[in-house]
Amino acid sequence: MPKLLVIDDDRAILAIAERTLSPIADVVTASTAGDGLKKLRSTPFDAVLLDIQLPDQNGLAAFCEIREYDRRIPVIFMTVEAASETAIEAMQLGAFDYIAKPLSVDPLRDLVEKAIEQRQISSVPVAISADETAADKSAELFIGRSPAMLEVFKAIGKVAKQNVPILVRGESGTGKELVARALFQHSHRADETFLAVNCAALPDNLLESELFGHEKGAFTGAESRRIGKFEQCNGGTLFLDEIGDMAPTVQAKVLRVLQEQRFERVGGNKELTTDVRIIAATNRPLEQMVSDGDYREDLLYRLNGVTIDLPPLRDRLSDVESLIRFFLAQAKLEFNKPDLEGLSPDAVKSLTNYEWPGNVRQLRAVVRRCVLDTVMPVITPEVLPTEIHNSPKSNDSTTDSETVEKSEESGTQLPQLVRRLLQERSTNVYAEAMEYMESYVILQVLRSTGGNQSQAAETLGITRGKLRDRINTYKIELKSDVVVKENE
Amino acid sequence: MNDQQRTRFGEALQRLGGDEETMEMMATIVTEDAPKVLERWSDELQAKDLDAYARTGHALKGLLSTFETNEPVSRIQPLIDDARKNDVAAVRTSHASVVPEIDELLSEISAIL
Repeated sequence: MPKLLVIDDDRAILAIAERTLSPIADVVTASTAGDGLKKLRSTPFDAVLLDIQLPDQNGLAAFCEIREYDRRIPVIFMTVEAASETAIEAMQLGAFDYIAKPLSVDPLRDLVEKAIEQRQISSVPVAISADETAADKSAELFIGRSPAMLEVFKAIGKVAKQNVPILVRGESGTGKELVARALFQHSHRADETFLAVNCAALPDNLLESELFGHEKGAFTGAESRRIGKFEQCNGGTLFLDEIGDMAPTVQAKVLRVLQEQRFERVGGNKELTTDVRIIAATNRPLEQMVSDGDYREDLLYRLNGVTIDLPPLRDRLSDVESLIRFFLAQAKLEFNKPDLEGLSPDAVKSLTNYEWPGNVRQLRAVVRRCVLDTVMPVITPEVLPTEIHNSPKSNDSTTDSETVEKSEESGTQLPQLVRRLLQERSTNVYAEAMEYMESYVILQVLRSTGGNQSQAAETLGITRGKLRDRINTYKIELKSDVVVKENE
Repeated sequence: MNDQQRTRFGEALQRLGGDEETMEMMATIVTEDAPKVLERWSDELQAKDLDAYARTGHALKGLLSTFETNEPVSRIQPLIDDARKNDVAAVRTSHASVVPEIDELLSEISAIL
């Protein structure tokens, strides 16, 4: 039977603990810190219930001695002032939890059971250790030895020093910007400027001004001349992310820079020259967009002379362990968790079985979140987000949100969706909420135009290509009525 | 325990999972320990040892809160705070009025036995 040590100078508390917890543990009591620490050193315990104010020693000081002796023992503080700064300090020091006095027996029993369970799970040797030296060994991009990633490394090596435009393709979160940076760092331009622009983050007119600059008075609000990124980056490398989300006018100007290295500022007549290497990235189907008339074919061919395809993480699950090791070491240093030992085998199993729809970015966020959340030296499956912990092999976790998205009156359940994602400790709240909102807006606008995509695109203020892309993404069917396909 | 006591200490009984035997055990401990703690508390005020007074007040609050979290137990915390601020006058005034109320609570608790 597990052993529990209860340290409190209040006889009533010791009596409650003995009476309530004896069915689940051998309860040993001590009324001073000194007595408790003596008992702790002579017998192995699975958890400790510790009063925050003891007659011979402050509970926090006693806690530090317990940790020094055995940092794996979960310590639960008991305090009359649950919201006190001492309780907060206890949690910051690494206490397992704290419980308010007067004690309620049911929550007390649940908490002690949880602590004992944690102690047992975290006594299992770690499957992946949190070794700080792994944090600075190499850049995140170069982690992994899967065949797919080896092809990426080879491609970077082959083309980095060639002065040609490069198109990096891959799903969101696969690390396209990291590839762009690696290409830059290994190029002849490594000592020059590297700038990144997200083409999807700016409205078309602002994007044009951002890239090419503008003359004073070019448009309302243009109070002075502004230098654009192509000028600013002369001699360097410009990373154009989300290149598929670019208006035709901007596409034409970018094409001209690629062909002739020439351009004009918005509202200007003077032709300027620049020497910029362009690295572009997208997760959009550019060839389909060309067929649909939404993307310039000549620009696509200029851009994709050399293409690097980044595989989604689900296609290189053998790299997950290495990535976890790297992110774990980084987070351990960043969040100052010197006691963190690593991940339990079960936690690693859950992580390596998951399909990672948000790719490496999601994995990084999950590992960081776990390091922040854990109060034990070993991260166990309980600390993982629900969608990973409960359904490692399936996409069941998305079923609810898909149901919400596909409900006929979608759009009404955003607060519920966000609440559920928060409860599940999702690490993809922003993306899921934005997808939900976007599908709702597009569906409503398409309904208002009777399915007319040109009108809908105009109303939405996006290109027809982007609208078509979203229609495919959200499986919107354009029949006599606009509906979302079910069961897909 | 009679029905009146079950109502009077309903919240405490609920915290103990409705276990009247445990409740009676707690009443025994509190009846034995609280008067000694209360006496020490008054002595510490008399000796103007407000550090000790605050610590004992904290222990008293913990002991009595098993049965009652509202008045008079809730009145102990402001006394602890005043003692930590070394405000003897404020502590004296409140102490004089809270002790009889605590005595009354202790009588109610001992009546459970």
